[in-house]
Amino acid sequence: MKRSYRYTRGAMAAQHARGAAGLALTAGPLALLHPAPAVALALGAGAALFLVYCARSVLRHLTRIELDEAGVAARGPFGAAIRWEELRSVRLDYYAMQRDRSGGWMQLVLRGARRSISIDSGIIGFADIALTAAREAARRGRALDERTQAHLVALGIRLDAAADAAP
Amino acid sequence: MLSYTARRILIMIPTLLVISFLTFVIIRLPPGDYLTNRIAELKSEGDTAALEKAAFLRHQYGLDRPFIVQYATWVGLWPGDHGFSGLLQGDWGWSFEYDMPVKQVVGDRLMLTFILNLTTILFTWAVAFPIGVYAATHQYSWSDHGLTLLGYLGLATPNFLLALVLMYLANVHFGLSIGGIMDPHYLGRPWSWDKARSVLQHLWIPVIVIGTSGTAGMIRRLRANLLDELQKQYVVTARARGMPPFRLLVKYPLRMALNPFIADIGNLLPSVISGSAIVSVVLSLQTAGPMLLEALRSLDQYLAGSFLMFLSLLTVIGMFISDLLLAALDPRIRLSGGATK
Repeated sequence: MKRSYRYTRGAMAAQHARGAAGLALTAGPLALLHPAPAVALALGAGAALFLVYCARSVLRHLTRIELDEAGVAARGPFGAAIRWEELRSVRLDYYAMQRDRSGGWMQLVLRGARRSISIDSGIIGFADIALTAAREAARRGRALDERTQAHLVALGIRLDAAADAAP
Repeated sequence: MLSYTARRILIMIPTLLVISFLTFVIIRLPPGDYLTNRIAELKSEGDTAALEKAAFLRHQYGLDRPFIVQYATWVGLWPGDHGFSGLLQGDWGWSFEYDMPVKQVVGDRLMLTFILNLTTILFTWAVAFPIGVYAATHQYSWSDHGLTLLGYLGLATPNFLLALVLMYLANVHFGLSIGGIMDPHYLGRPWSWDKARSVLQHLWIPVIVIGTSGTAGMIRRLRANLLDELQKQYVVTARARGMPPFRLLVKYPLRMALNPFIADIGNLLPSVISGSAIVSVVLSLQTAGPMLLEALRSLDQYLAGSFLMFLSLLTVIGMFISDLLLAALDPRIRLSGGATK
């Protein structure tokens, strides 16, 4: 059965706002304040980074993640698909802005033979996607690193249950 | 990582703006300013034209403008009489005391300070790293106890005191003067091989003086971090599976033990410029620290402000680099904190 997931409106609005603010704070001074070459270089690099960030936000807005028995796919502009047989690795990272590393977000990176798909925890059903990916990785004997295992546990996913569920 | 980097930069820019504002507030906090004090001196000397001169200088340096305009002009967010000309445009302002641009006043002091403190950091790492690893892997041996004692002595000895003792011993017993960072006749002269050689000849004393406590501290921290890692389950398992000890040490525990050092880069960068101020005064080193102290003392606001802003910028950049490195090397959740999503 095919399952489809999209990023939440709140998560997308926050991403767009961050992108716009970043562009305003970097490209704005670059265009208006005639900065020194070293400062211009730093502002230019920042503006380029926020341009990429904005472009990625738009792509994410237009993308939905689909899961089925055959594999995982990101449907939308520049989409990608990975068949479960081609799944090489599953990595679950955690990033936080605060020093105590609380209040952060997770990122699931699925690598196939040729393509990889990166999914942020702002998507509805993130835990479901992570569980399915971990289960499929376990079915195919792909080892998950210690970090990914700890993050799955933090998401409430029991690894032994994921492995048991694998036929 | 893109998301993380973007969010980190988004925090960094307003942080720098707030810091620049606070810096400007702080350097303007003491009552009066350099010109007021200078004019008072002129008046006390019977200079009747002092008031006119004060008005002229105040207007020339923009000190008669509202505070917020002065700040915005200093940063380069607001045009002055000659268009945008502030920190963002690479103009560090005017030093009242030296009566020349701050950039010119600072001259190669920043470069000398950078060389001195970078050498100190390299010395610290080069000495502390092998000793820390040795002490951790030979816990409670005689050599560990001896190194621990040395470490405590290094931590307990203030840098300036060590500098005074070394100066005294060198003078009394060897007849040497070890002050200064180069021979005096090279001061203010352009860089040459002879000048560089002179700097290298003088460099080792301040490097040892400044680096001793840092080295001792780093040995203690590396030893403690590494001991923590060496007692973890995965190390025991790897040992039981017959993994060669050196490979095991380098591949996992040592890497994890380095995390606090990466986190420390944020503090390291500003200390490359300002870390040795007191020792520089004691050893008469021609570095940036003593100049910053003098600028703060004499209320030379643009010189002091530019210095403080530069140090703050280095701190923020250092934090940014260390956060990115930590996020790349160890994007791990702290389970007690919990994930929100």
